[in-house]
Amino acid sequence: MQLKAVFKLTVLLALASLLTVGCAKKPKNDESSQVTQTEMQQQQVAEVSEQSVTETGTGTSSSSAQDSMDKMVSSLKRVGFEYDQYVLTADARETLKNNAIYLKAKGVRVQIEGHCDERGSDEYNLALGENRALTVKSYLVSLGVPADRMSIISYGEEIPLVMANTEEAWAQNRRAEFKELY
Amino acid sequence: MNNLLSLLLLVALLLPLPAQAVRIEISAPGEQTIPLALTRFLPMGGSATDSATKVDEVLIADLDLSGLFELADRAAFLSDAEELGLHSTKVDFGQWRLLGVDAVVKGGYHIDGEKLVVEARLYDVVSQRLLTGRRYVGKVGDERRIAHSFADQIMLALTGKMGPFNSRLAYISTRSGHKELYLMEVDGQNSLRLTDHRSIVLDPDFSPLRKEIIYTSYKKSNPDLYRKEIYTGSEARISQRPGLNTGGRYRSDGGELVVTLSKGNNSDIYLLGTDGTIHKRLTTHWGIDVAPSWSPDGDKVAFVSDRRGNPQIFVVDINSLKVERLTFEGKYNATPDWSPTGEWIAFTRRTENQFDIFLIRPDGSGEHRLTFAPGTKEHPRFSPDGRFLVYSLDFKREKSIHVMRIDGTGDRRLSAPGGNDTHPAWSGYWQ
Amino acid sequence: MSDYYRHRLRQLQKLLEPGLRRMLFLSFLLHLIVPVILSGILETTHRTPKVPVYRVNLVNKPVKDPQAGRPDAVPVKKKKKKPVKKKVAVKKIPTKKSKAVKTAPVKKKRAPVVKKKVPTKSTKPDKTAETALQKRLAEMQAQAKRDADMAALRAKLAAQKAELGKPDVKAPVGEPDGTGKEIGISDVRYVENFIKQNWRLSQYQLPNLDLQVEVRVYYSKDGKQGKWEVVEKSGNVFFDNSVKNAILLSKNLDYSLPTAGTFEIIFNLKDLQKR
Repeated sequence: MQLKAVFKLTVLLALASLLTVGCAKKPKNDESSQVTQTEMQQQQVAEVSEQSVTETGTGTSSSSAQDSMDKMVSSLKRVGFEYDQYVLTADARETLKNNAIYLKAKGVRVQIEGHCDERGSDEYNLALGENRALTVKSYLVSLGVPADRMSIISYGEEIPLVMANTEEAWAQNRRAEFKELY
Repeated sequence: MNNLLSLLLLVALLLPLPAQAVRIEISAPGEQTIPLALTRFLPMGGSATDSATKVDEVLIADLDLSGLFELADRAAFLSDAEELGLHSTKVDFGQWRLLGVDAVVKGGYHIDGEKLVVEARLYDVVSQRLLTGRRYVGKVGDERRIAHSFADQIMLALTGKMGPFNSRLAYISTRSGHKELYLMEVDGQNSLRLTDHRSIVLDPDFSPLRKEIIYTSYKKSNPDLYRKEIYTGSEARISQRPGLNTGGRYRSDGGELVVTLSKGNNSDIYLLGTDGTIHKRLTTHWGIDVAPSWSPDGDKVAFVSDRRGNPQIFVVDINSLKVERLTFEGKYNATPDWSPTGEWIAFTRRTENQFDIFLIRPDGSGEHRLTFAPGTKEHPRFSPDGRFLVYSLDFKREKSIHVMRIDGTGDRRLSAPGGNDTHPAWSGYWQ
Repeated sequence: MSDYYRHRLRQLQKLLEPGLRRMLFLSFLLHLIVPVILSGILETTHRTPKVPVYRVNLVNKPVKDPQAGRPDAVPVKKKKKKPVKKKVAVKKIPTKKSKAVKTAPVKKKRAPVVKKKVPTKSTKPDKTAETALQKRLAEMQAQAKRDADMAALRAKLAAQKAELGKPDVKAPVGEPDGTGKEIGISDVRYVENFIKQNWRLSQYQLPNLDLQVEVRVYYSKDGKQGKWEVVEKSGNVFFDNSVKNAILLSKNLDYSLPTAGTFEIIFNLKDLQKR
């Protein structure tokens, strides 16, 4: 009996370690291989971002400040998901890498919103949206964005981006969005 | 000699005659509806007003929805329809029998200033006796409520179980531009907005005891659970944990809530006190666990989980915390609602390209589909007597509330056109 | 020994009274009659009708399509309609052709004779005559082919007819226990349907469908209800009441029974439970 239990435990541990390796390795690899690159970008972006923060802090009347704001916001891009999934796609990972650079440089607090398409039950979609927001958050954390600067919220299927009954509309509605908190 | 011969003949003749009675088995009634005559209510002195018409309209609609009756054609009514007949000795049952009806509804009303008195009777035509008699005293304008109450009484007299017609429906509508909580009568009339959160309000449920509703709202930028007293309007936030505080459902005795909490991490099912404190955690699983629904005796909770890959209905025993899978067919089963009779669990399943409503017994048997019309049907909820289901239909990008009998018949739209109405919830009996 | 038996026989004969022998004979005859009556041979032989008559349910509401649901009716109907049309079409041609079938070979025999004669008479219009002959030959061949086709078709029709002969499609659907040889209305079925028609019950009145009530009702010969009693209750008030109402509404059957008698009627919902 004991032997069996020990065996089970070891198997479980082995599996668990495999899982953690499987989960953590990819982001780590990405980080180490692209550290230099990201730093470069970070510096570049950082200059612009600093400006915009001060501008918005003093006033949003000037048109140049408005423009730079728009650029800044647009640099936090939304990411898409597959139907009934909250696993990040390759595209989503790429987008999130850029978002991570932006976030680290700017040091703002951000809320990650999880959204779903209208198919499926609302309650389930609320949970699904939350899981989407969570995976985005944990991936950003793995990219070095401090966890305490990000909060998550799920809107389920309540706030669709496109109101239509087509596959394209649904694909656009399955997303995680970023909202800066000031 | 002759005597003997005749005796023998007699014996011979008598022998083949069957000694026992003929046995006949009738294995279904000839008619599955009760032929009923509904007379117009007559003025008992005083002036004739439109009160009778209002009562009449509501009674016809309710009795029709019940599916219990076949209303006799008024054109065939004889002279007794013009008599008040508030006592069984004053009713000419022969006339009603001639029309082939088994039951007759008679009534009268009296208006004295603002005071309205309605007398209503239901007679059994065959046994010529009073089945139920009611006197309602109210104000002018209470006609609809009175008629709903009497329809419930008719159901009680003929089936032993109250009708649900005098209860209320809560639902979510976007008529104001935001998703807000509304209340209406069971036939869709007299709708009333209850919240002004200007945010997103979701998934209401009635307290079985008090006139209170719980619901989820994004008013404070997080899906929190709120409770509102319907008439005083006072509102309280009872669960505001980070992440989901959704799908709140009262136990049938109103003593505890079951709710989905994610605590900003992963959604699981919890038992809460009515003050919002956590009493017990019912599920512990990395998968999504949402949409709980109590069994009527409060020892089990049905919920949706994707722990086996796609959303399916599971049942958890709240004492042993043992989880059993209920649905195996289909790739997407959601929003279970346990019938107050305990007989069925209603849920939605993704069929071809839409969702439809299905019923399944709590032991997993007897699964069958109720809706076949085009459009997605969601949020099935049972009436307090378990005889009807209310649900929301999404057809041609318009969402509306519908009601049907639990055999899928008698489907009709309740909510008025021009508004996206979803998330219906049926109150308990509304005294 | 044989003397002894003869003696005994004589003794017995002495015992027999003059009428006793006749009575024994009569008794024997009457005993013979009893099993005959019991077996019902007399009845059936006497009542067997020449033309099959089917029982028709007179109480139930008229049905739109009385053949609906008959497993053999639907395909047979289709089959039957088409052949009938064919028949008409076929009849016109074959009546001529049936003669043609017989006459054709004769013509064939004649034709060669003509053939031989023609060339002897005139050699010049040979070509025209030959072409005419060829035309006729081709016609005749085509005719023969058509005849063969018709014969095949007719054989097919006959086969179909034979197949059709099995179920009599024209017959109205009778009672489930009918054999197709009864005349008129089944008395038991009449009573059953009459009471069933008066039994109104909604499923909404019941918590479950597993209910049964047994009632014993007496009907006089002219169909008037006499005493009735509930033998076994269901325990459900609404079910019991619905049955009572059905019995109360069946006070007069409007039908004369062959004999007065008691009916034991069992009310249950087995048909509804099958859903």
